[in-house]
Amino acid sequence: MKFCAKIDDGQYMREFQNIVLTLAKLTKECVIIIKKDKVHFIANEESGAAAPLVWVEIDAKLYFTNYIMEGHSDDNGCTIVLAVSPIHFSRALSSFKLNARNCKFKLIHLQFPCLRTETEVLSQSSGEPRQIVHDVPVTLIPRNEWDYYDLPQIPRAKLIVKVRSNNLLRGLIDKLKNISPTLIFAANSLGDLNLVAKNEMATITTCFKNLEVQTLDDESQQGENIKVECSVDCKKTSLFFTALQVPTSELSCGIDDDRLIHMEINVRGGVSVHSILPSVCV
Amino acid sequence: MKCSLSGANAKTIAKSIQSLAKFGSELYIEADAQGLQLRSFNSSKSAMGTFRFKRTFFESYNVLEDNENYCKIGMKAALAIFKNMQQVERCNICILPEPAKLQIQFSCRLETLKNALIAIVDEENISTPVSIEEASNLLVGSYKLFNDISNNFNTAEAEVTFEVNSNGLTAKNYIEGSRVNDRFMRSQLKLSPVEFENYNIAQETAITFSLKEFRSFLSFAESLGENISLHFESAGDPVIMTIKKVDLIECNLIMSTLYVDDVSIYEELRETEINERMSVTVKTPASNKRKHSDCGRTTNTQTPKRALSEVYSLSNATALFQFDNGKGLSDFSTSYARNCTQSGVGNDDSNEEGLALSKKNSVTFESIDIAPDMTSREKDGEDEVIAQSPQRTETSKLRRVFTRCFENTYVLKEPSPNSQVYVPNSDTED
Repeated sequence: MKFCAKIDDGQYMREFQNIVLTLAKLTKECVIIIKKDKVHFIANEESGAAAPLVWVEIDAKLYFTNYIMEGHSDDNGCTIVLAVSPIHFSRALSSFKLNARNCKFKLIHLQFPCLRTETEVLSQSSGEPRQIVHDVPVTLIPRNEWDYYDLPQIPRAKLIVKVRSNNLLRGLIDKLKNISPTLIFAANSLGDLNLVAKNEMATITTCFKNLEVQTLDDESQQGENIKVECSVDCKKTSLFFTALQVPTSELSCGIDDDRLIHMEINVRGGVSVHSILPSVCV
Repeated sequence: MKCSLSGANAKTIAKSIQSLAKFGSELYIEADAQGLQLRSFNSSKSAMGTFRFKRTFFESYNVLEDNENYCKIGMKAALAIFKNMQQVERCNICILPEPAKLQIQFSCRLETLKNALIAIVDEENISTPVSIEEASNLLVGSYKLFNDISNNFNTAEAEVTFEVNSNGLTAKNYIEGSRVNDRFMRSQLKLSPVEFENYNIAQETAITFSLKEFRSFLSFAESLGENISLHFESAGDPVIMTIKKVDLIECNLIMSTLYVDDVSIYEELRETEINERMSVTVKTPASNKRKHSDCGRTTNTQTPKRALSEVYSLSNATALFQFDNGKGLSDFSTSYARNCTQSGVGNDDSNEEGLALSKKNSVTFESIDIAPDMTSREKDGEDEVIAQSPQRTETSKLRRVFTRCFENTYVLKEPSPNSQVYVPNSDTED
């Protein structure tokens, strides 16, 4: 089993670091699925009891130059499945902030399997290259457990609204979680998104207008105003939004009427962060 | 002893006390004609920090030659006094012989006067036979460089290993014997010689020392903005970290380093490829095997040093630091550089013993669970290398306390809270 990948571009390294930082804020253990052409991160739902299900998809050719992997062949091709603590991993990547030139990832076995991160950094004072090596312990997931970590399918939502920025939403949901444990997302095809929080004393509704809307199925209904609504757990939603460290100019919420909300952030073409918030009974 | 300083210098003294407070519990103050000296060491006596302030650092400085010019005070008291230094404009320090107290007066803004009297705990003086000239390796770098090294490691890391050779310096985090079996991150940082102001390595070596004391002095160097020099010889010999500001302030941190045998087995780890067998993670049998192999490797060389481990009390002759009780004796010397006590610089054996002792102390201080490991190593050729951890004696008590939880909820014979009848049943049919 071999895995060797290199990132040469500083911007890609910082984006990768931001993704891992996002995962570090959500969960204590995440699973990395390495395939021939894609790398996936899955943040388990039960490991962080309050955290939502989050997965990240990265197109390997885009980020990594020199991507070599040799894993077990199964129906989908070669795969390696690892479990790693994203907090440790983000510490290993912390040197990316300091003017890093390139970095190399390697899967090695010292006394236990580790993911080795070798970063070459230019020191600010002298301009000399320094090498920083971190070994992050990983657990190999045996093949019989791979089905458990199958990638969730992107659900077909009736309506997808594009939210322009995370800042407003984040602060808002943070405050709303004190009002009510349930948050209702209601959207219509005119581009309105309403966030509603109800408790015995008050009902608070925040209206976002003129948002970009995308309708998926049912072409016949195109002329009509489609309304969708879903109630989700406020704490989970708040955790998700506060954990995001990636730039969120392209955040879209797909609402499946009364079933779930699917959030997708397109960091760049080929790299996306997804999350599913299941609906709760009011 | 009586001295006074300006507010800015008092702030520097406050910072130095804060630095010492990070690892020391008692502050030794000595004053002589050259200047004032603050000293402290950590609880396992494996590190000693000294700050010397020259007489010109003070605005006025009076020392009576044959009086008590040194004292020992509690660190907490000193720290509490030198806390908020923003308002301080002038500071006066003097030692009052009777009652034995250290008086510190702050003249603050808005005509405020703060007066503090700290009780002197003891009249004790420490000196050390370690001197800088013995060390053949020298590293000088700016505080920024060492800050980068320190930030590379987790704040929880206890010890760090510096490996020096002609190619450069490699800083690694040090994994102790018992911790090797756990899974956690290892970090490494490689620096080339060019990054240092002075890179003078006469002897290639790898030294391991505690990161806590190093970081406390590093923060002081950062506040001064000065370079740090590291003098060391080889593994087992002390490492001396010095910070100098012009001629006014001189700081030294003497730390003991670990012996070669106990250095982490990082070097022995060769990268191998992962195969499918390793996907099943079963920790206990593998860790047992590992401890076995550790034992086999180290037992033959351990016996002479292990005998020393029984003697836990530091005797004056073999200590890394020496305690001189009494007032104004001939051995009273405040600078280690010009200090040559009876054990002397040439008597290397007793130095080594003392260092082994302090190393042993520091190792046991760092990780208490290593003790069963050590005792098992003393027995050669034993099958069971892991000593049983002592049984919990409280379990029986717990079982007795929680027995009710293991029984059925409703037990007929149990007296219910309603057993006491306050009002008899008035139902005539019953």
